[in-house]
Parts: sequence; structure tokens; C-alpha cells
Amino acid sequence: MKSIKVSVLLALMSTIRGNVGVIVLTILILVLIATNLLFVPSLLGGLVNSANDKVRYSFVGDLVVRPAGDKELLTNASELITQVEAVDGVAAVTFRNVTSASIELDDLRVRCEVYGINPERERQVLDIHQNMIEGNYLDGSDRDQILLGIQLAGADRPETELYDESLQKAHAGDVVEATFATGVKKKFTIKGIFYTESIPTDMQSFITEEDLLKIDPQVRNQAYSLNIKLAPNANSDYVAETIGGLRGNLKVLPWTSFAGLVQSMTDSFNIIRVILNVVNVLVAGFTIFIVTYIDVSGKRRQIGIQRAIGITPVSIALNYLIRGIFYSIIGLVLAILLFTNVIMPLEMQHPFHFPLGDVYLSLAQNDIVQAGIVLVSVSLVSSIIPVIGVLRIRILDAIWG
Amino acid sequence: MYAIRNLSKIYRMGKVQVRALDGVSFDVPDGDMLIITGKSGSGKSTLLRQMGLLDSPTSGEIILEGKEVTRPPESEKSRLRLRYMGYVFQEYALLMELNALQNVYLPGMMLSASDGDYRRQSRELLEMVGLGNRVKHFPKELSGGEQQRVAIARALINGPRVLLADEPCANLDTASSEMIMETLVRLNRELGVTIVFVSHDQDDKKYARHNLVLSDGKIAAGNGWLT
Repeated sequence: MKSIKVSVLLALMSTIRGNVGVIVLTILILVLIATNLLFVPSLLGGLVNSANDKVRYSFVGDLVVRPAGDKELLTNASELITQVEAVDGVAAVTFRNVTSASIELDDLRVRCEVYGINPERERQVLDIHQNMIEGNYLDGSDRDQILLGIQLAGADRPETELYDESLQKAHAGDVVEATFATGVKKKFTIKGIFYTESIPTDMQSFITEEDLLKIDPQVRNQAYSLNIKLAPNANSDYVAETIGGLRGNLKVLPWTSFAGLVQSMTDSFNIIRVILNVVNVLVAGFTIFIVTYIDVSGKRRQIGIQRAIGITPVSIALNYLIRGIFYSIIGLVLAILLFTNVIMPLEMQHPFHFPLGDVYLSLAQNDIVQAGIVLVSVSLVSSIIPVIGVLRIRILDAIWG
Repeated sequence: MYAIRNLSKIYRMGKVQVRALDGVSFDVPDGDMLIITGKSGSGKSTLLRQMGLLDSPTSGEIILEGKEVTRPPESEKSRLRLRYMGYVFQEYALLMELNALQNVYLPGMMLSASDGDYRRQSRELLEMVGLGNRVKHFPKELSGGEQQRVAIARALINGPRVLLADEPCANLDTASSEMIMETLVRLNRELGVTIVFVSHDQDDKKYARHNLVLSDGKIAAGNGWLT
């Protein structure tokens, strides 16, 4: 305890009376390192959030109900929808049937899944209707109208990821010919083209359920899937369990089951993050070591005097550890303030644009804690090594050189 | 209390060996005031540094309070320096980032039971050396004589049995030197602190009870407890 008091006094007075330039430089370096430590995970976190949102809000909804076992379709769909809607925590339900088709415009052809939907229900569960870049979303009364994702239509946008495989020049109002798996051929007018910035979603096409029934009458009152939007604060596990109990042969999947791409992305991001953090830690370690080494070299005589008057090596080393912790905490706090008050608001106004959409920096508490631990640990190790070096020198050599 | 037995110190400078101390033996009883004199390079500062455990002798023994303390571990040296001895350097050796009061009480913090004790004692010691009005001044704001008096007060904070002073007046003017020496004499007489000091000035013998003259690392003369 007495050693700690001595160390605190030495650390305090060194900070107050020490070389302002060295202290400012040390803190500045720590702020930059801490900002870097916060930036990487928040960017990757933002990317993952953005990708997850696309899956959840554009692709499948919060929960997906599919038949269990080897059955392809949910039977007696209208009754099931009514039952699901009655479950506490369910905000909206839509149902889909699907068939594969080949869609042709001029000499170009694409193969895709065509979903038969109830547009009014879809609007309540997914946000594709908010992402129309040409034309309009479907209405329930629409017939022989089709919605195409940008990856199918191309829409004269060569920058689109799958443009070469698309119809390339399809626009709203154009007429395309679809050849369905059932053998039916049918012309559709493109009512609208959507662009959700999620490639799996943008490879879909939609027609009304009535149009699909004309093509495949066997799916009447059947559904390939029910897609569910949950009420805010609803317990997803509880809702899934309740729906699963409605019938004996239902499979209820959370949206995360469809986020395989995101999971694979997250794994890769974590590797990138570890690599960047290791580089950060090495840069931080060497920089703090050099700054401390220069500082300690200038204070060799003072350290020698401290030893000569009976201050224990532990107290002297502890003084530098306390300063290391103090500077790294100050650096971290300033970095958090800089990050949350300058960088994040600035990025919010000018978001990074990635193929999966605009990405907003997302700073999790866990990332701050990790950055803090890394920063403090690096500061401690890097600042103590030069001090140990001086403590090993004979007292007289330390004082008189 | 101090017994120096056959103490030798050899410095190696490349292939050359310099024998700074050569078989020095003497005793310093409690309450003594001993001056060590000699020409420059005679080994007097080297001897004092061995006694202050700032350096380790090549051979021989240092016995303090009946215990052999020649080559203790670093932590034990720190403890002995704190508890038994105060050391005054020729160049004051104050910590530049601490004010006079903090310089004095820093070693006291390592031993004192409470904050109040070492702060009060430090103030009293600074009063005693005539610096009661300069407690908040930093070393740069003090004259050489004032800094040396702060160093003496610091050396006394833990109530040492012995005060070792290495040419405490070497860098001071005559008036300051006299003040320092009178302070040491007063400490010896009034507080009973054993004082061993090094000086190249033969006139300083008047302050001491006993003297030791070193020449080429050996005791050339003395009127103390030579063994």
C-alpha cells in the first residue's frame, strides 16, 4: 500500500511537472491507436448489421414457416395463416408459392424463381416495395404483370453485379415472355424493377398469386412458405415454438438460418479484424516503447536517485505502470469522444457504400471493452520494459552515467 | 554500529585494474561524527558509497548493527537505506518534479504509518534546516545551499541512525557551507545522529570528532576506531 502511494505521487507529479510535449505526443498516439482499434470492428459490425438487415427485412422476414420432412408445400394455407396471425407476437404474415421459369427479352434469357404473392400482405412483412427504382410495386388486382429484381432486369446498369447474366436492357413497361417449369408460356409486362442491394433478393421476381394459380392450379390453398414479421419486443423463440405447435409437421426457421452468407462474411471479418488488431498492437507497442524509452532515458538520473534514497524498484516500476494506465485511459476516452461525436456523425451523413448497401459504423460496448483491454495491456507492457532496463543498471551508473 | 572490515574495491577499466579501496578497516560507533579526508582519487567517495550500499565492494565486509550487509539483494538494500541511513550527495540529487516538501517526505511515505506523520515531520525538518518558508518551492527555485539543506532534511525523514554525506559543501559558497556544516553538527549533538562525511577541505576537521585520512585507497592516518 505504501509502495502504491509513493508510485501514485511520482506518477502524478511526473504528469503534472513532466515534459508536456512527451505527454501530449504519447496521448495523441494512443488516441490514434484507440480510434483505429474502434474503427475496424465498428466498420465490420456495420457491414454485418447491414447484411443482416437485408436478409431480415427484404429476403425472408423475422420467421419462415416451411413444411417439415420431405413435403414441398404447406397444405390448407388459409387456415394456417389465420392460426399464425392469432399467435401473440406476430405482427403480419405473408405467404408465397414459387415456380422456376425462364424469362426472355429480345435475345437474352434468364432463369429465375418466380414467386406468387399477395402484394398487400408482402408490403406488411418485407420492404421490397420501398426499393423500387423503376415503375411500381404490384397491386392485388394486377394481372400479367411482373416485378423483376435488378440482377434479372439489368436495367441498363452495367455496374450491377450480375449484369452480364441478366436481361440487361429490361425496363418497366417492357414485355417479357416467361416459360414456366410446368411448360406454360406467358407474356408479362414489367410493372416495376426493385433494387434492395441484396443480391439474393434482387435475383427474385414476383407475380400475383392469381397469376401463379393460372400457371399452376395445383398450388391453390397451398404455400411454399409463410413469412412472418414479429411485433416489436416479441420473443422470437416463443413465437416460433407456438407456431411449431399449431400443426405436427411445421418447420419454423428464424431469419438467421438464411444468413449463411452473413455468417461466412462474419467469420472472414473476424480474421481480418484479428490481423488488423495484431498490426495495431505491434505499432502501438513499438511506439509506446520508443516514447517511454526516450522519456526513461532522460530520467535515468532521477530513477537512480529514487533508488538511492530507498524507493523500491517495485514502486518505481509501478509509477510507470500507473502512468501507462492513465495515459491509455485518457487516450481511449478521447478516442471514444472523437469516434462518437465526430467520425460516426460524419459517416452517418456520408455512409460507406458497399455492394450490400450503405454501411453505418456500429460501435458495440464489447468492442470498446476489447479496445480498452488491448490498449491498456499494450501500454503496460511497452512502458514497463524500458523501466526494467534502467532498474537493472547500477545505482551509481544511473545517477552519474 | 558500523564496522568496516578489510574492504577493497577494484574497478576494471578495459585491461587496467584500479584499486580504489585497499583493505580498509575501521569502526564507527553510535553518535560519532567522522570526517573522511584525502586527496582527489584517494577513495573517500568510493568508501562512502560502499557504506551507503550504493555500490558493492570487491571484497571485505560491511557490518551494520551487528549484521553483515555487504551484498544484500536489491530489495534489502532499499530497506536498509530507508531504515538505517540517510545519504547526502555532493550534487544534492533532489527529484526535480517534486517540491521541497515532497522531496523530503517521499522516503517517509515508504515507512510512515500515516499521511499526517510524514507530512508533519517533513515540515519540522525543513523548519530545522531553515527552509520552513520554502516548502512548496521546486529544486530549480532554490539555491545550491537550500537544495543541499532539503537533501539533508530528506536524509533525516526516517530517523536514520547514521547520516552519510559525500562532500556536502563541495558546490557551495562559504556562507552556505558553514550553514550546512553547522546543521550537521547540530544533528549530531542534539539528535545523536551518527554522521560520516567526506570532505577534501582540511578545515572541515574542526566539525568532526574523529577523522580518517585516505591515500591511494588505504587509511593513511586517523584518530578514530581503527582496527
